[in-house]
Amino acid sequence: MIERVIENWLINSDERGYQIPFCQLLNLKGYKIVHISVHGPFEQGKDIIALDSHKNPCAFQLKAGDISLDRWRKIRSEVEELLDIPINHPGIDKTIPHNAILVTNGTLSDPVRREIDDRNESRKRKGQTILDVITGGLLLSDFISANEKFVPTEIRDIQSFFNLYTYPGINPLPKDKLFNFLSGIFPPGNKIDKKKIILAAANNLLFSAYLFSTYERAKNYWSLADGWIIATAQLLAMAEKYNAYEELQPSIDLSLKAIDGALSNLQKEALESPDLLQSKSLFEGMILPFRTSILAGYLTAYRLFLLLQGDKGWFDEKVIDFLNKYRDDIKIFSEGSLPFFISTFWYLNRIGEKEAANRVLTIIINSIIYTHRKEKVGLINPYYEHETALRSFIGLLEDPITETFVDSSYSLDSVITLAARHNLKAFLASMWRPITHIQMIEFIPKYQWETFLYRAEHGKLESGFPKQTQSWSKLVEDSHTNNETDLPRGFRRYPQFLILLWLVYPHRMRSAYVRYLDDAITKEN
Amino acid sequence: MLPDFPNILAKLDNLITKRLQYRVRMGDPIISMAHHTFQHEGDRMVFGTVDGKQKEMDYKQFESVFQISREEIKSLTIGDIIKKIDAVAEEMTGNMARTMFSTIEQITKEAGTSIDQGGKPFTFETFLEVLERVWIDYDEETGRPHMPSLVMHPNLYAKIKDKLPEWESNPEYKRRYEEIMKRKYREWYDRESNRKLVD
Repeated sequence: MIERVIENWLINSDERGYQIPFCQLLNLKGYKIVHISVHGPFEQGKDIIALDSHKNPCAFQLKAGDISLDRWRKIRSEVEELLDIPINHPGIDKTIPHNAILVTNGTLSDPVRREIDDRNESRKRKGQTILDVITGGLLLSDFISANEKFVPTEIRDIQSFFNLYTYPGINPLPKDKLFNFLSGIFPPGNKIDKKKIILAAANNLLFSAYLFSTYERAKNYWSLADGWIIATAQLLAMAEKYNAYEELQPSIDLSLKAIDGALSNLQKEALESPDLLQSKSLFEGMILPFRTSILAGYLTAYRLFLLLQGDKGWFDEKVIDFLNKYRDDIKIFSEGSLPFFISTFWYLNRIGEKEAANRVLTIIINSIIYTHRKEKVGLINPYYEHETALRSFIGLLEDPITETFVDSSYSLDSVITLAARHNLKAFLASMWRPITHIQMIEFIPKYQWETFLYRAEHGKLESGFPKQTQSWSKLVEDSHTNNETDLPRGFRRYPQFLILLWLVYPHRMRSAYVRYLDDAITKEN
Repeated sequence: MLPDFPNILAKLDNLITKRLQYRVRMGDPIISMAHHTFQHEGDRMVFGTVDGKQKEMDYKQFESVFQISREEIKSLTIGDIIKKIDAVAEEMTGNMARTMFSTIEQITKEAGTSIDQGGKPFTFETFLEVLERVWIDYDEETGRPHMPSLVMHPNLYAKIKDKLPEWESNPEYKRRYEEIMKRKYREWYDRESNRKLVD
């Protein structure tokens, strides 16, 4: 049954849709991926650059659908670039001829096949690189055998897989359901053969790709990014638990690439929209502040993600224009929305707009104080999804929320830490009295690997009040104390992922992680 | 499988479960006033007390059992089911309230704020003594006290309810009460003044 789903997925994918899973297949066959072009049209005819198991350079061009003679004539020049333009990448020796492979999830018509054969014969005689072709049939059998061969445990819940696969792609991602499904792929036990972990990771990535195609088709890049962030978190949990970062790096890198692609598309769509409206509903204005806040968070987090992974093009003036344009339209609507604002704070700080950045931080703290001490309701805590918060605001909750939030905050410690680190002494002094009435809560997973899970089975929920009389110098000192043992190795290895994790799992934000990320983002500023 | 209507049954089960949860939560006036925190993950809870100590939460399970025979099920109406569920809720709420009060008793004993009357009658003096020992907060804007709730056994209430009008009208009692409340206000003010960021 799963085979039919894979077939359905493959037939309906465009070239971007099967690019990452195809790379995962290459990894399993011993290739090392050197470059993936996730940002749009291919570069010099090459969508993927890899080294095969004998370290021969290979360039792949991906196409979707059948290739008829007409279509072949249109793409022939691109294929010639694939064949004849040497790979221009620092990791590849240009003097070594590369293998060129055209991949399609459809078929080649007979005339096209004959023309490729004839051209290959001619190129062979001239000692030139020939074109290899992978078509849909072979691709499908490769994907199916990857799943048959590599699924270490049976899919626990076939029904949940189908439900997720057929879930309407225009919706927010059902995180709990996705997490539960992917947990079924997670290898059980404490000690496990590294090969099995690699295979489990590959399956995590392949099944994620199948499931996320619904969002890909709907161009719902928000949910697509969320999905890949959760898939990556699962990979990091495996790597952390089984000490397998080296072994899982190819899968993790691919997953990060998929996030990059989704966020890049989300940014493009947001920046191109004249007013962020997209449907014809009369009520769309009601959700606009939520949409704007989410976008501000995702766009700035994406730029910081690029910064932390060393991308020199991380700064984008258009993101600043976006923040300025919608500055009065954003809204803190729950503690789960605070990472959007903290990300905005960091982005502004990093580009030197410190005054504006600090204003964002004071707005966050003011908002926490106001909702708890004046409105006496508090902010909905980060364990509730954004849709629940939105439903609560507009009175559309199916079941009332029976948990009380007043005078308890999962984020207060983190934002006080940031305020102390950024020297907002006068502001904090003016707010300290109400601050001390609010209980600070944080969840500390017992095992570091559980940090990457949607819900950790083990760990303690710790709460306490800020000190009533607090020394500023001690507060500053504490805010600069970093204990690396508090951090999962995954955060140190992939610091760019931490801020993305909070977008999707805001309950994972802790002051210890905030201190680490603040150092990473603002250290060279 | 016999002919069935699982969606309808699931909906009714869901409704009755919600009613049970609601009745448990709202069935006792003190429990209904308390803040409710959910632990969404993990297996431990540690909390800080006002005096800066850390305490581990001792989880307690509350449950109640009721039995219905197969014969009985055939004739159960929605009204019958609601009655049974409400009885379960009442039992659970009672257990929760008893546990809560015994925990409060233990904590106040440890903190030295409990008073043992040793079987003596509850007088206005007792009331003032209780008031002296509790921590009263005031509204920052109106300056009005957030008076604590006084919970008593119905038998005790029956004994003192006739005395309440006299306590309220006695000028000496009123003076002493106001004196304590002024002191409480000053205490609160001092406490609040200590909430500050210093160098």
